[in-house]
Amino acid sequence: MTDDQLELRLRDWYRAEIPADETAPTALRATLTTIPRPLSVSSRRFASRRGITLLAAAALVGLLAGAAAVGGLLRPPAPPIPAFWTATGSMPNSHVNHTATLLPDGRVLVVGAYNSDGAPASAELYDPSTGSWTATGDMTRGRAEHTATLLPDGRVLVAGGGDSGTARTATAELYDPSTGSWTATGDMIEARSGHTATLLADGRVLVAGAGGVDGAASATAELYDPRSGTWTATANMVERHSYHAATLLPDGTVLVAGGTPAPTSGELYDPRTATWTATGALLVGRWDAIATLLPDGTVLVTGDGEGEASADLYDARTGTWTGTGPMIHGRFYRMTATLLADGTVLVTGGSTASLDGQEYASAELYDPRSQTWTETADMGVARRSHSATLLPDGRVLVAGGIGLDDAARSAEVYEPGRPPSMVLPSPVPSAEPSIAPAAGRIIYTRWKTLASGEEDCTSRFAGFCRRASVAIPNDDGSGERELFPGPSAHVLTVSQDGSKLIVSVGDSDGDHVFLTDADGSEPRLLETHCQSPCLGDWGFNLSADGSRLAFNRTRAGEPGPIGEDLVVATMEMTTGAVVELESTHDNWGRPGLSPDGARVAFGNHVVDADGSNLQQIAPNDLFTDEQFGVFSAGLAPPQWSPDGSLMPSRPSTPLSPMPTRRFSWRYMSSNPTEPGCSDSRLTPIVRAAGTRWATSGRTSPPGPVTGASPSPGTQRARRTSLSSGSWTPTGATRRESTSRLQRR
Amino acid sequence: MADSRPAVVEQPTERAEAFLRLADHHLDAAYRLARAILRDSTDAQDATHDAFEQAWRKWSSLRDPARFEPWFDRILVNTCRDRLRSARRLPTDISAEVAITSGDPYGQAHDRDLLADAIAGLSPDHRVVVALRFYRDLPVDEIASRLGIPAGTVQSRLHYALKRLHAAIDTADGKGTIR
Repeated sequence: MTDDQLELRLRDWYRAEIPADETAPTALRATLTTIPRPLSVSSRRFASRRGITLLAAAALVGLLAGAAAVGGLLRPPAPPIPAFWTATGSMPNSHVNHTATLLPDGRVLVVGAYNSDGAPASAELYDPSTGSWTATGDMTRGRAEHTATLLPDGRVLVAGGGDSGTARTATAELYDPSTGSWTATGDMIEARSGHTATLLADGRVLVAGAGGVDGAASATAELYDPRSGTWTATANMVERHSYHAATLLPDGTVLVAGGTPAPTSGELYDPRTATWTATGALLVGRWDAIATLLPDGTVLVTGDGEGEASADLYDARTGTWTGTGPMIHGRFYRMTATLLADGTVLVTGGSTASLDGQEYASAELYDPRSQTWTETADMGVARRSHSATLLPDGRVLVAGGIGLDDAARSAEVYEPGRPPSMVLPSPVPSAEPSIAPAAGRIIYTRWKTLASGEEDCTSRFAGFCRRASVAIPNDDGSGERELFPGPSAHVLTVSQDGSKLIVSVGDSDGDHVFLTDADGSEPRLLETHCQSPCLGDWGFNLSADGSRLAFNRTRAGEPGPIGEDLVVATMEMTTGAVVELESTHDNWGRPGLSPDGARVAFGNHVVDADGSNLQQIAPNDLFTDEQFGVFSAGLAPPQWSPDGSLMPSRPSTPLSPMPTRRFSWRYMSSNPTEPGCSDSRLTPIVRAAGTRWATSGRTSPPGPVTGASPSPGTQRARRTSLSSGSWTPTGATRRESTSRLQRR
Repeated sequence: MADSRPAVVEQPTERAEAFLRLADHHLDAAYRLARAILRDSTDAQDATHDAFEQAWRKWSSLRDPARFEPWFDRILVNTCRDRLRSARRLPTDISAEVAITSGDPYGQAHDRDLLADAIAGLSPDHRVVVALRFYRDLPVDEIASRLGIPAGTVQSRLHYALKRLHAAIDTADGKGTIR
């Protein structure tokens, strides 16, 4: 089609769409007579806003925010279902000091053991959908206290370990889930057991330290490259470490903490410079350390705390260690710690302090928000030296270990319990709620149609007069606070802790964008009557601490070529400086800020907040075409998890329980049971820096509020939240083991 | 020499009458222009009403009543543009999604007028210049005058708007769904 043809077609379209004799509706004409009048207080308020000063804005919004709590009580929440454990089959073989690895298809690979015959080579698979165990191919040799690492291509690298009570090995091998077979890969430079293996952002694996029953700990480290199958030495650690913990931090460095014989040593490995540097010392010596990366980027380190039930937090931003709430039980010798979908940490088993200690059946939960520990349901079997694996559906598989009741062959699953949910009061919210997960709070926009003559409705024509406000229900459901009542108001984004909002307040002059505290105090005017380029057009996303804002907008300057003038941009809230990062090429590139605010994910790309280091992290055909074409505007931004994984853009919350084309995932096509359902258990997780794929249940941002979604057919919003962490323990009665088996 | 006094006299009643006369005379054309930009009738009524409210507040700045139309068009077009921008910021309306879910969104989408969809996909600035050029048939210089931007900017916006429309329609044509 030529330009001339297009122009002709446009003119025809306008003529057909808007006939030349079309007149304004009678209602509109009637309202003209209401316009020339002295301005009402309300109208003056908005009319004067164009040249508003910060001081005036503060006074204005303070007045508006002073509205009393309105709205009725929330419906009684649905009661929570307490956490519980259930036995889940019996493993064909015993496993102690083994590894358990979640595979991309949702199954769990368990390998390694010590028993009276040495270290068997058997390997087994657990299928969470059936609760059954099946044997898979044997390893090329037996091993225990080895490492197992899921590689970006879906294979599992198993390295080192002991193959008898006294020896350790340098061999390594790869498990291919698609064939169930093992193949040897290059040997490590040094024989190791009691070491750590950490998948780096670039897909290589860092192996550090060594130890074992027969020798001293090692300070050496080496790197495995899956593409070549070879190992290369890297710099030695500052101290020798074995039975230590290693954690990939959000900035790509690796924290090594504690272990034997340097239980207070903490050091960082930087893959970019291949160097180790000491970081602050642990507060308590931990000879057998366990580390868990928390949602806020800090690291919880527990285990073997020199006779104390203590726990420490490492803050990577400051390089400092602080104590946190003491555990309920002092746990030593191979307990487990697992980050759950709600951001709490489940600690299981272990044993008492002395070498002849008793195994624990008990479990406890650490809540990073309150920094407290609470008891949860006991395991059915007391155990240590076992494994704990977060399953795709949010449950935790615990398997093997030393204890009573044939612990080494037993397995059980932890059900975190269902959180209570509540339905918000009427009048109904009219828009998708915003979630402030860390604060246990949801915030939504309410629109109310006013009758003619009601409030400001004299300035509008009948039937189209709306009053809007931002509603914040109290966390206890006793009512709600109402901010910014007026012709138009809606929430653009909320910080994770719920303390700060970006709100757009509209009037006949246009939009005015405020940054405000959740109580309506200290509002700061960011923009009034937007002029191109606007502060942002859509996709607003405030960082966890409220210091950085990401959004989409049309690029500053003149409109550019097709697909290149829609960009993702950031604003520094302290300075107001805006940086345009990258073209989004389409409307689906809503930005998601990483937990530390340093990186921005949009669509299937990630870029640093300064615009550098652009990476594509998922294939272009992740979504089906019909999602792009029909519902691109409804896509949610990528959701980050603390380990640098993220969930790519996805459709907005489904309103229908039935599969529809709009919510179908090409990625999900392999699932025969629920093709097309937007089921959180099947949501793909992509590592920000690489190509690792896995299914995961971690779809909700961590915090007391785990979800907020429209309630189908009711035009209400449903909120799902956790209780205060005081779930009633249930399940098996605690049975402290009388085992006298010694560690290792 | 143009009258340097405000077009309306100081008496409030006479001011109002002068405003109402002009407003009533231009109402239909204003509403149609708002429809051309916004398409939706309710939005167009809201925008037209809001624009007349602004015009009343700025009444004293209109020095030549003969220039009411371009003076008011600028207010109206800016009001429409802001509504389009605001709509892009709005969160999902639950009631709308419920309605969509109860039907067959995929089928409905394919039954829509693809040219209307293509226009709806333009940025607010592009939609405004396309409506002024192809609905109002205004020359580029006049569009520039009414929007208060350089003529080159208008040409640039028209150029890219047409490229976008071409792309959208050609894509649909390629799939054999254009009617």
